[in-house]
Amino acid sequence: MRVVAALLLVLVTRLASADEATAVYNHACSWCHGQDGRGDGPAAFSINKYRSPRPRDFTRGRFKFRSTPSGQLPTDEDLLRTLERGIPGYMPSFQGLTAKERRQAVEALKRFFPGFESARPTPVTIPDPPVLDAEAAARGRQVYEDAGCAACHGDRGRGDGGSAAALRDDVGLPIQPADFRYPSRFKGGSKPVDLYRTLVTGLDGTPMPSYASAIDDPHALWDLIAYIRSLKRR
Amino acid sequence: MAVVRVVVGFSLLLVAVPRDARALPAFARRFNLACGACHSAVPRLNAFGERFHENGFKPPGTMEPPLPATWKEAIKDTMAVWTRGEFFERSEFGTSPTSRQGFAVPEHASVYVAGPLTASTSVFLELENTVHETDINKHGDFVNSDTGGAQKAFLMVDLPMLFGLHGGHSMAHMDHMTMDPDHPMDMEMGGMAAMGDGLVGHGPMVMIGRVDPSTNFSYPVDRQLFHDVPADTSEAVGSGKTAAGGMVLRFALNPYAFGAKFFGIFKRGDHTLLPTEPALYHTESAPGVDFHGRLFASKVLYQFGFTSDAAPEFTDRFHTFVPYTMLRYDFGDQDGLNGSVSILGNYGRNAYKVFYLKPTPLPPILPGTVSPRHTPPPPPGRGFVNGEQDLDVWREGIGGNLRRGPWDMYTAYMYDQVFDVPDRLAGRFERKAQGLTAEVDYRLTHSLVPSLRYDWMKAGGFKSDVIFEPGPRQSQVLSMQMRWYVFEGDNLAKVPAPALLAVSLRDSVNLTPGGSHPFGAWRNSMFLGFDLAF
Repeated sequence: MRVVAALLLVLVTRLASADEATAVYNHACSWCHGQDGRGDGPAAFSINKYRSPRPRDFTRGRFKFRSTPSGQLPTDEDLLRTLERGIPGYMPSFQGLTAKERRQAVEALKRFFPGFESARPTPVTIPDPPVLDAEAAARGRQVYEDAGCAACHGDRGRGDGGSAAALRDDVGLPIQPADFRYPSRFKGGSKPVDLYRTLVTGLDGTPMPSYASAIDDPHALWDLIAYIRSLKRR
Repeated sequence: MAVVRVVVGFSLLLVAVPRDARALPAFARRFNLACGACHSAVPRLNAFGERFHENGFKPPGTMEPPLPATWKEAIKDTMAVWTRGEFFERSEFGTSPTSRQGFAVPEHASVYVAGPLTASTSVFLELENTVHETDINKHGDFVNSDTGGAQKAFLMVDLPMLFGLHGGHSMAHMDHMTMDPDHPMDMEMGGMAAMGDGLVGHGPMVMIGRVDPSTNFSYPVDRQLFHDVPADTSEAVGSGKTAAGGMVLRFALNPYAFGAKFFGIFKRGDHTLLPTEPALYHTESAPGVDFHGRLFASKVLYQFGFTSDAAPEFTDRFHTFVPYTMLRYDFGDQDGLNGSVSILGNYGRNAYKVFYLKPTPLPPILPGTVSPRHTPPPPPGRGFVNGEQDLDVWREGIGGNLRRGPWDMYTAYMYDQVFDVPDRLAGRFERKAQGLTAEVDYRLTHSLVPSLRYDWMKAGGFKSDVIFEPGPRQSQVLSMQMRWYVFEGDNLAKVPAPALLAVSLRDSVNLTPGGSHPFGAWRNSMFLGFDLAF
């Protein structure tokens, strides 16, 4: 009898917790992502109208900002990072939620994609960044050219490459490559480790691929990052 | 003009200071967002923006505002400048002048200081210079004049937060003040009291100061895609007046539903109140106290409070009392569909005043008097009054909006009645009036928003008086507009300058033309206007 009571208590506690998570999600996230997590909330269209990004459709299980290899689901820490930082221009920081509420929001959004139940996402390893000086940037310029970054981001990194106008995201909306002059607008973060993570994991759902295979030398990646950072408008 | 200079000076200062900033208006800068996060089309709010506003200018659900760390941040993240208006107008009239056109310098400019101050308290201050408030000068002529100063100025306080009823949130500000954003402090703050899905939802919030109650209505007055166009006060037609004195050729082109709707009424303090001028609950700013919050899984927004929209004289404000209550039901949260329906009840005690002729006892003729005292005649066309009466008014109405994807639809219907009309005016004063405004906006492309608005008013008040010609007391206006958002804070890769810039081309057509009455004299008005904010 005590065991049954204990199990009931655990069940009730879990249900209460689930309700709290849903409440947090509904009050903080559903305006854009929708109550069913399909990215079709009442404010979804006006975020960027006929262009990408629109609010994420959690039911598709594709996430841009991950520390995991391309095609994998993000870790809880990835989701928390996005929630806490926000996405420049498009999603505010929800740092104003309590730590508990932020975790509940993550818990709620993971329910929209069943794959999270069995997923064991493994973050990629990000080595410590070396000194990103002018010499590294000069080497990075060559990496930039060899890897074909200019096709989308342009020769001067202004997001105006030859392919830029034709780029579409996975739902067919036009998407603009990042303009490296304005790092504060990088959606995945602008610190060296953020750029490294973006380069090796790619941005799933966008034309930005993972360069983990194409540039398998970490030093070359850091050089490329040094070059990208050197393009910042002074 | 001094205010304009101050505004321009502030503008230059703001441009100069935030060199490395995301140069978006204050909330956008503070929360690092493009306009579209909160606005379906500036200044129209989307559902997220409405909740942002209700939550004290913070993202919905959040309690702790990100506070500016430096003075530089405090300036750029709390201050904004917005200037807007028409710089070209062409209007056609059925009577002389038959048409006229010209360029003008839009002088409508506002400086805002706004944002959350603490977890419980936010501030909103708008210093405004506007032109063409219509009034009657000492000669009895209608004139448009400059006004300025504090427009909205209020504190918004989250009462449960203020009194510590949010279960643990009082410490949560440490979260963002002290830690690296990459490594959030793992604190269990609990506290979903403000966000519960049960009977009690959000709030109550209280706004104190010069408030704008209709901001919570389904169709808010101050978030129009069509600019308010002032009344056309021109040289009098056929009365021998010069340009120095004026008649009203066309009433202000405001949403009719929110207008005062009565002819020949005045606000306290003898300021005229034209039928299309927003009044009562729909006044854009008035001293008052407003309570609002949410119930029933946050689907119902309740609002009650009072304003005192009277005269500039401070003591007169105690004479006028305008209580109101409003309920709004929000629906829809799937497929981008959402909307709301609002009902309003609004009473205005001594809100209006009417002047009229009444019998005056003849002056006594004293023995030995050579001739009786002589009163000079009134100026032609302006009449002579010797009686006045305060009027109470009751307004009831319904409004709604429906939004889905690129479509935004809004409507409001208001029914007004005045009381305490003097017996002397029996048969000459219609004490009931109605107004309807309906609008459809469509986001045609990323930057283009065509809009269509229909206004209808069946006005009350004097059926015929010495100020306005006898004529129709009904009016219908159809307004069409194409608004081009050149920058909307979301094309930052191409436009490093932080800004909102919108250009609008508008045509308003009088569907009930006829006579020289201000409802009928004009035929068509075309405007080129702009909005610039940073």
